Parts: sequence; C-alpha cells; structure tokens
Amino acid sequence: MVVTTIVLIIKLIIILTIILLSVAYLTYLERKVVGHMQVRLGPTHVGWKGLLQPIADAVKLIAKEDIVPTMVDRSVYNISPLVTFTCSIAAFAVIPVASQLSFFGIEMNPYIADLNIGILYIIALSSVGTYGIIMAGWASNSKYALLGSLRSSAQMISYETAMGLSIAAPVLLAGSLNLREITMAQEHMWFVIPQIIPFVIYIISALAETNRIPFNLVEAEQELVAGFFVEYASMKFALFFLAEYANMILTACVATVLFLGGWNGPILPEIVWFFIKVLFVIFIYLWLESTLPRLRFDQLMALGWKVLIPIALVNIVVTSVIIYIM
Amino acid sequence: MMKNRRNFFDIILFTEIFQGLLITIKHFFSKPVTEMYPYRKPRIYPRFRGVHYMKTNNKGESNCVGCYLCGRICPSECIDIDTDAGPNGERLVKKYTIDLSRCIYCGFCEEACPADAIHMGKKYNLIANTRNNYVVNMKYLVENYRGEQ
Repeated sequence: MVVTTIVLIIKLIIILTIILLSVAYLTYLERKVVGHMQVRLGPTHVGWKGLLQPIADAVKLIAKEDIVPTMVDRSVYNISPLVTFTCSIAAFAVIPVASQLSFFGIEMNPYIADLNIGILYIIALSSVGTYGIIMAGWASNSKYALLGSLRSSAQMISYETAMGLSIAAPVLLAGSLNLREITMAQEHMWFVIPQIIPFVIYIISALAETNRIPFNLVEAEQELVAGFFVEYASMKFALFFLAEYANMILTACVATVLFLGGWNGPILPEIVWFFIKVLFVIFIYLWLESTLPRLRFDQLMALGWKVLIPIALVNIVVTSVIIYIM
Repeated sequence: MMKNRRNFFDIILFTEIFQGLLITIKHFFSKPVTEMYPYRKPRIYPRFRGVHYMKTNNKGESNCVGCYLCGRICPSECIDIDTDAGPNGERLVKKYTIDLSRCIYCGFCEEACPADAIHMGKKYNLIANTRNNYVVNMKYLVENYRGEQ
C-alpha cells in the first residue's frame, strides 16, 4: 500500500513536470513556428537558439509583483485561475502514452488512472474549466474581462456539443469510452481513415475550445485588450496562460488517441510514436494559426450550430447504422 | 442578390484554406529576412546616405571653398557656415558646422557642392548625450573622411 502510494506520487510529479515543461516549450515552439511562417526568426537571444526563453519568461512572471485591483471580488478573483489550471492539468491523468513502460526494469503503467469513462472525464473537466473563465470575467469587474468571458462561455458551450458528437463516432467504432481500449482497437486501422469528417470537426472545435486563432474572439486583442484575464498579473496570469497551452496539448493528445491510433506505429518505440503524433497535431494548430484570420462572432456561432453539429449528427447516425448492419 | 461565386466543392473541400496553408508552409521553409543587427552589421547599399564627410587635398586641408551652396540648399537648414577673408584676399572657411540631429540625410548638400568637398558617408551609428554634441564641426568631418577611406 505504502509502496504503491509512493510510486503514484513519483509518477504524478514526473507527469506534472513533463506537462509544465512541455507547456513552457510549446510557447517557444509557437513563437518559432509562427515566426518562421511570417519569414521572421522567433526567439534567438536567450540561450542557444533561444532555447532558454520559456524559462526566462517563467522566472519573470513568478518574480513579478502580484497586483490585485481594488474593485475586484477578491475570493472569486483568486480562485478562478486555480479552477482553470487544475481542470486542464487533471485531464492528463487518463492519457495513455504507451501500452507499457519500463523504468530501470520496473514495469509501470504509462498513465495515472485507467478510467473506464476516460473520454467522458476529459470532456467533463474541460467544461468545468469554463467556469474558471466565467468567474474570472465576473470577478474582475471590468468590461473587457466580462465581454471576453461571456464570449468564451458561449463559444465553449456551442463547440463542446460539436466536439462531443465528433468524439462519439470513434467511441462507437471502438465500443468503449476507455482511452486505452480505444487505442488498442486502432491496431490495424487508425480511426482517421473511416472517420475523416469527425476528425476535421474535432480539430475545428478543439481550436474553438482552446481559443486558438481562427476562434480567439475571447482574447481578440483589437477589441478586448486581452480578454477575460486583463486584470490579472504575475503568477495568476501565468496560471491562465499555462491552462490555455495545457488545453492545447490535451486536445492534441485526445485527437491522437481517438483518431491517429495513439501509440500504434511500426519500428519506433510506442511513446515516441505518441509524441510524434501529438507534435504533428500541434503543428497543424500553429499552421492554421498563422494562416487564418479571426472569425466574426455570428460567423463563429453559425459555423458551430448550423454546420458542424448537423454534420456530426448525420455522421453518428451513418456510423451507427453501419456498425449495426455489420 | 449577390451571386455566390464559390462552387460547392470549394466549400466542402476547404480549397481556399488549403491555398492559404500552402502559402504559409512555403514561407515556413524560406529564409527569414531578419537582420541580427547588433550582433551582425547590416548590409550597406552603395547609395546609402549616412553621416557626412569632407574630402581633403593632399595636405590634409578641406576642399571646401566656403561658397554657402550646401547651406542654401539644405531643407532643414542644419548647415551653418561663416567665412572670412585671408591675407591674400582669398576666402577662408571660419566656421562650418552640421547639426546631425536636424539633418534629414537627403544628400542635397553633396549634389550642390561645386568643389567635391562634402559627401554622404556610410557611417550610421550616432550616439550623444546632449543635443549640442550632435553639432559637428569641420575637424570631425575631415576625420570622418579618413574613416571612410
């Protein structure tokens, strides 16, 4: 009992460190990729090729003075970054990065929890994360923050529907909500081949969920300064920032597990395949970010309700009929 | 009503988005245009117009004859010239200053000069702690000529 608890705690620490480091280096990747797509260099100054830039940013944010504006609702203001951050980090518990891992001869499970409702848990947590944003917008007592959080909640609720419906299709094919079993069902064929339409819908709604660029109305700089976290400073701001990027990685992981076959792949070790696929999905995000302009709010809602949800519904019906016949 | 020019397949296959993606990926693999300025010197083009210099004769004296033409043509009136008569009745340049903080580096003085004296150089780094230190005299301009050679 004691040993398993210690192993669990060590595993938690390792996974948390990896997530936080990868979130930090995701900002570096974003700045580099977007920079090169705009024929610039991106960060080059701090460390070799600018590799220490995320560390420098983190140190700067931690060292900054924690300013709390006088007009805010203090308790809600302080809780909301924690809610958002915890929800996005906790969802990583069920992501299986490989079928089996061995560390110095000790066999370990490459995930923290093997829930039989894994995908449901992730969707639920990402919905709860929205509460943090709404609370931040309300507690900040600022028009920009309030408008940003209103937009965010509307956007997240509409796109979560499309996302859930697109997730249902691979779940139907695998016959399980468990992420491990979904991955193992894709041993012979990745679900992206029969389910290319829900994959596209998933990518679009994941971009909307994480407030990335074609859908970043929440933090539209020209209209809303920075969106729901304008009033936040130092580490509280950093928590929102980390949560946003952790969400990006999370949606990429879920896309990998549900559609791109998870750890399945020839020759290379399973964990390497998993990370290659996640990086590929993230690269697609960044690529779209530097290509597309921002949508108008009514266009965003129209795309969600009038296009994505009907297509996803039709797809579910067709998939279920085919599964029922076969 | 305005006719929708896009056809159905363009919409469902995201043709326009893929065109955009193609453009960005081309730029991704092209060479960045960033100049690493403080670390590497920027490229100076042949017709670059930087801080002025004054050409000299073999004895190291300025070619300037004190004709006032550069001061007359200067649009920002930053060239200040004062002349005096020498012992043999020739014209001597008593004072010749350029206020580099007012200069717009248009190069008109170089074009106006009849004596092949004032020229635009390649030097571009100018730092001074007061405005008066931007006002340079003949000595500075002549020394600048040595630097340019």
